[in-house]
Amino acid sequence: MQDRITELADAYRQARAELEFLDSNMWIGRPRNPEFATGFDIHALRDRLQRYGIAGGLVSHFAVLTYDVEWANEQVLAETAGTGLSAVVTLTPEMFEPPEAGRAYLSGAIARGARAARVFPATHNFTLRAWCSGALLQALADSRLPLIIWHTEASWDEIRNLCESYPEVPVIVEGTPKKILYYGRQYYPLLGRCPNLRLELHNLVSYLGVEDVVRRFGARRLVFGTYMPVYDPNTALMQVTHARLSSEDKRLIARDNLAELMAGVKPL
Amino acid sequence: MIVDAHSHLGRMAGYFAPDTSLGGMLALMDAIGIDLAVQMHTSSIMECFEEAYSASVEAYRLSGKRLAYALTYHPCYVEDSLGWLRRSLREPGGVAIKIHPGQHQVFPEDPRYELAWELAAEYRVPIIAHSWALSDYNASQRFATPEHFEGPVARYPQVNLVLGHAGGRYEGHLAAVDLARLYPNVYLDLSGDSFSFGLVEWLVSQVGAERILFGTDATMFDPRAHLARVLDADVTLGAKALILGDNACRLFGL
Amino acid sequence: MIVDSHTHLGKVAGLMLPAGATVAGMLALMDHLGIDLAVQMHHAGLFECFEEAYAASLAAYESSSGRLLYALIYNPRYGDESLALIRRSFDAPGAVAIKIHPGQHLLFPEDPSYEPIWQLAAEKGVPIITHSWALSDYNPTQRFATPEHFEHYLSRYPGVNLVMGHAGGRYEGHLAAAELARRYPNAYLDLSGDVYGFGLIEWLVGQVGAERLLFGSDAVWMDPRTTIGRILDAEIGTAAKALILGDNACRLFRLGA
Repeated sequence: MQDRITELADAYRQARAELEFLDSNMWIGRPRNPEFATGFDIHALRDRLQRYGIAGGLVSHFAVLTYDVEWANEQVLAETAGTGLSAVVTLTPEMFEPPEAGRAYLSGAIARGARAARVFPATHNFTLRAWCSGALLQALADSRLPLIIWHTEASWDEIRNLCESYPEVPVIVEGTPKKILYYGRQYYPLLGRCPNLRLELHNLVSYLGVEDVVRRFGARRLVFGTYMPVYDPNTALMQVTHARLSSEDKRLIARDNLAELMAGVKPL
Repeated sequence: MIVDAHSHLGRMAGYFAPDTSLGGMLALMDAIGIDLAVQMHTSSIMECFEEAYSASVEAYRLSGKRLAYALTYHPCYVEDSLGWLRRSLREPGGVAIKIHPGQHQVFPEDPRYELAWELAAEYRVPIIAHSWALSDYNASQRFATPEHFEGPVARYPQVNLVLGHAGGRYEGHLAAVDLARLYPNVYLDLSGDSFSFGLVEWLVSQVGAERILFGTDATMFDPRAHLARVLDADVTLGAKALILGDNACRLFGL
Repeated sequence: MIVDSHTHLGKVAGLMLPAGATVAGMLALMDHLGIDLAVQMHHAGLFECFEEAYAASLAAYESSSGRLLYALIYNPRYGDESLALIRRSFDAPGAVAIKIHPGQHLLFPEDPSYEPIWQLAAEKGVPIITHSWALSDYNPTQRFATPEHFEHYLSRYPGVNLVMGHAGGRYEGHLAAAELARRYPNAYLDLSGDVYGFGLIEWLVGQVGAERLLFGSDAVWMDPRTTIGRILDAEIGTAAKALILGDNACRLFRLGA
């Protein structure tokens, strides 16, 4: 039995390394409720990437959830500089009052390597409707900065409205700890009608979910992410390494989809 | 001196606050006659301990020592937060220890808080705690209802505990008063959005003015709402003096 | 053998399951991943359709050539009926355990209505598999399934093994489940469900030992690849992985090598 396990583990790690994953969902700073992981700085993160064979990706800062969004953005921009990793900046509507101020801020962040944005409308008490967030969303549309949003932060109807009102914004939905798989009856029709909508993998976890999404909508609609160091990255990794898909589709999900989104970001 | 015993500098991501700056706070304090404040930087509550220390020390200095401060003891980051706390309490300006069981989702009687009480006893400073009642819309308040503080309060009679917001809502006020009547080392502050009609008078009648502290929760709330309620309360001038500053000066060594 | 100790067949009204959530689909994925056997707990039994659960479980056992073993779910609100069917299930091969779900049935685990099932488990020498979780902000029923509630019968039936499914579910639940398992040698934890905490597996091995952990996936909710990869790559010895991936289950459920 042990020989068999060693064989399975080696094959898994080999498959993992070959795919050269890009991770859209890594975090530094301190989580509000730390669990079993320790070490939340950029050095610990880079060590982990080596350990799991992850080649790069996007980094967010925990303090955006609770403390000072701009301060936390500054931390992650500074910490990722020169590392090959890219920052995710979190945005709130008042940053775009007036719109030029927000656009200048976003331009600056992009120049410093930011390649995605996050919003937390429920936690930060606002709405993605245009009357509240129009300037913010227009700036994202103009820069093609991907927008990552937790499914617990906006209703599916608001996500639909966002995707349809701003079709140039690549929208990536993810979220934890509430299982996203409860909402298949909503995100499946949305994937059907909103070509700019993608799902991130770490908490998708639904049975045959990867194959099912690819079968219905193609492999370009899934973005790889781990939510490290909150979640064990192997949760998401094996969903791809062992997906019953072509190697081309696996590679799209593992890295190429995210790489393309990041490469599509343009200055304002 | 009038002392705001419960205030905050720094932002919170959850909402937009027009002005959380030191300059703004001092200007309003001057405008309405508040001399000193005990400030608990939001970064401190939100796991950004280094930022909290440097921001608090700077505010203390730039305010001409008017903004004393309390850093937060975090039960999920004991070593980190304890290090900064020790440093703050050895220097001028650091006057208390903050705990926030609701934010950190650890019950006050949890052993992880033990070192906060030990530290408070060692440095003879009070602990200021967030306290509230069970809430329909904020489930984490269940970690901060007053009865949960009884264990450590009883074990550390030499440490004064300030129940911030005096339990927050009606059921919490009842429970906070129960605790304060049982334990002479329990104090209640008037900060937060706890504006019930007759609350100040009722608290004075239940626990006595010596154990109530004026606090505002600025820069979340406007301090004028809190100051007016004490100034105009149906309590004696002597009681108002105690509440508005004498108690705080005694408790925090100001 | 690699054994998935916690799976389900059958529909759930609140969930849209993929087309492959069938016996054939489950077997195909098990083949793809090298999983030999699974313990299946049919959803119909969770929702008061006891006869349907029994019939479907027998059919799955037979059509899978014995690879899909099963555990019927005891419903304490229909104690007599569900107990009778569970008792009957042990008259033929296939049934290897008894499932309880206090969160679904809204009765605390220490309730007297659970006593008959512990007695039956003792009589038949089978384990009880239970849902376990932590207090939840968005699912208040989880309060019926926090680990400390299982101590009452765990202590009274030392000969009955209890598997806490999901190992307590969330951080506070993991702490409580591990604490219980440290005090009671008949308490086991499975890794099924969306319990993906970074370092969880290593921590559980450190706390309770690999002998008391079981690989489970919670298929057809969660995909087994989200858990099996974590075990294969965990920073624990290969012997520990062997125990978790199948040896413990073979011993607990008395499965042939």
